[in-house]
Amino acid sequence: MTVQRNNNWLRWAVPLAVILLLALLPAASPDIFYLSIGVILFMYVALASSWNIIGGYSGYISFGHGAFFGIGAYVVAVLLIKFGYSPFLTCFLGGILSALFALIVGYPVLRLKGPYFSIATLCLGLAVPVLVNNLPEAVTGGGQGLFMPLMKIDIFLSRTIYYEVMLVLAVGTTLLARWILNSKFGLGLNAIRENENTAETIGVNSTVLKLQAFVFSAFLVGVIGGIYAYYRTYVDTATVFDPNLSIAIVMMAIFGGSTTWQGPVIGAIILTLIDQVLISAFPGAPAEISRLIYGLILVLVIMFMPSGIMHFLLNKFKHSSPPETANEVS
Amino acid sequence: MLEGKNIVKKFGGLLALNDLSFKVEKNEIVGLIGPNGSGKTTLFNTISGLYKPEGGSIHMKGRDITKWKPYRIARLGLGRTFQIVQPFEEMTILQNVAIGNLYGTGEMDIKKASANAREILDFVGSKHDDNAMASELTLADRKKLEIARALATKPDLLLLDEVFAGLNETEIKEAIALIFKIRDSMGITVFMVEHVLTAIMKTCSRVIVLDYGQKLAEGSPQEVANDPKVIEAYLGGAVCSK
Repeated sequence: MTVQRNNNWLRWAVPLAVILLLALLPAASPDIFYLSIGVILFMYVALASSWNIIGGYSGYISFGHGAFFGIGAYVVAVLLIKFGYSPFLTCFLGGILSALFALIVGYPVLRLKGPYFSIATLCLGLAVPVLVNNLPEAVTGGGQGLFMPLMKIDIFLSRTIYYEVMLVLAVGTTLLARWILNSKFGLGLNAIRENENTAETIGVNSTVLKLQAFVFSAFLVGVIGGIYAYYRTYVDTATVFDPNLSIAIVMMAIFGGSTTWQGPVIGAIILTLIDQVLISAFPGAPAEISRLIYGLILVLVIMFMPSGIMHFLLNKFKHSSPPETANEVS
Repeated sequence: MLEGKNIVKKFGGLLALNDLSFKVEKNEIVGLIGPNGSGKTTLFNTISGLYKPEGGSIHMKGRDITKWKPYRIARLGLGRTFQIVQPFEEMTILQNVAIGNLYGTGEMDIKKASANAREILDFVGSKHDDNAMASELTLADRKKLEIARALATKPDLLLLDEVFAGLNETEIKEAIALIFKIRDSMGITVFMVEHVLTAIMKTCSRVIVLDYGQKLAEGSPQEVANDPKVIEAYLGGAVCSK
């Protein structure tokens, strides 16, 4: 029994300590390179956790979340350049516009199931940048994109600010995703993933639940996109609507285990680090080499752990634990 | 409790339900039998809102539910199980039942829903660890789980689609006892599709026989079993007329 209590205590203390250490890292004035990796790492953790609310919990695999990311980014850029509003406030407006867009497209698109939904969202992710490119150039900058004024502070300090903000977003979205998974809302989404018709026959209003999850997920991704835009200080459709981003967050969540809240976090950390380490490991070699190795690792994990790392770990743990543990709880 | 009037359901050119009318009264246990493809499961899917009928109407508890979505019908008080059992495989037994309680009754508190789910699992006689995954269960236990999940929505009417199929004799005896318990101690009306005739004889007060989407006969299990039209439908017209 005491072991149990210690475990519970450790379950909180260890992540808390890790987060605190990460938050204090800039105080040790590390190379700015590490802060940049941190920004990207935390961004992907936040994106994968946000995506998972619709993609993992309800099983509606969206390949179009880049659209919400880009909308958030453009809202922040336009409002900063035209009106001088601070991105740290307007990122929420970016989230709201993304959510509104998700509400409008989600209503018809969420009627599609399985691969049809995925294909529709993939098209969505490709169509929105075309739309943005064709908006009046005075607003979106057209093909030129938009340059934002830099923060008038030391580069290390500004990097530290983005680092901390992204860390807050990563921790915040992860806690939200965890809370949702254990809520009535999350259980309903899980039921939809397992069998939508059956879920309906026990009172789950799947139309509304899916839409809520899609809209909320889009809101979070829009906010993150807004912060990223200011970090880059430049937006154009090729960077903020990059289809690779849509695909990367899907892979991260599934790689880590999309039915759990920890999965996307683990997947985002591992894949981002592998990517960054590989890029810097072969400085002279062509970029294709690191891409090849990255792809190989992905294939191997999908072959041997098809439901994701987290699922694999949970099963391992379950089978290796002695049978008495189940009775010990009571 | 439940009344269908002149229900018509088509799949392309096929008339799956042809001008079918029926009634289920409160506290009855009514059986629905018929040869394969006669429309039994189609009728259940139409009642629960998964299929929309092309004609006719369905009333439950005095409300016209013909055009309602499944989740609304469920919240009004209709529970059902499936012929091919469909528990939520990657969720625990307790979660499966708790979801029924949360969404079927409007319960908001997960702890309360879990406590209710626990009671219902005891009621149906689940012998498993609540935290076992539904995918680990045997067929008989999956069927119990489906009944528990449906009961957790606190229904007034329960549609059971072939709960006895694939069970051994001991399991059938248990299931019959459970159906009576559901009716008598929970006050739930039962409407069941069944192929196991001995089970029908023991449980149902009234049996409706379907053939080609139409009502072929109706009456006590004895009456129906001796009805020449029913025997012909089961053995095939050609055989009988020879």
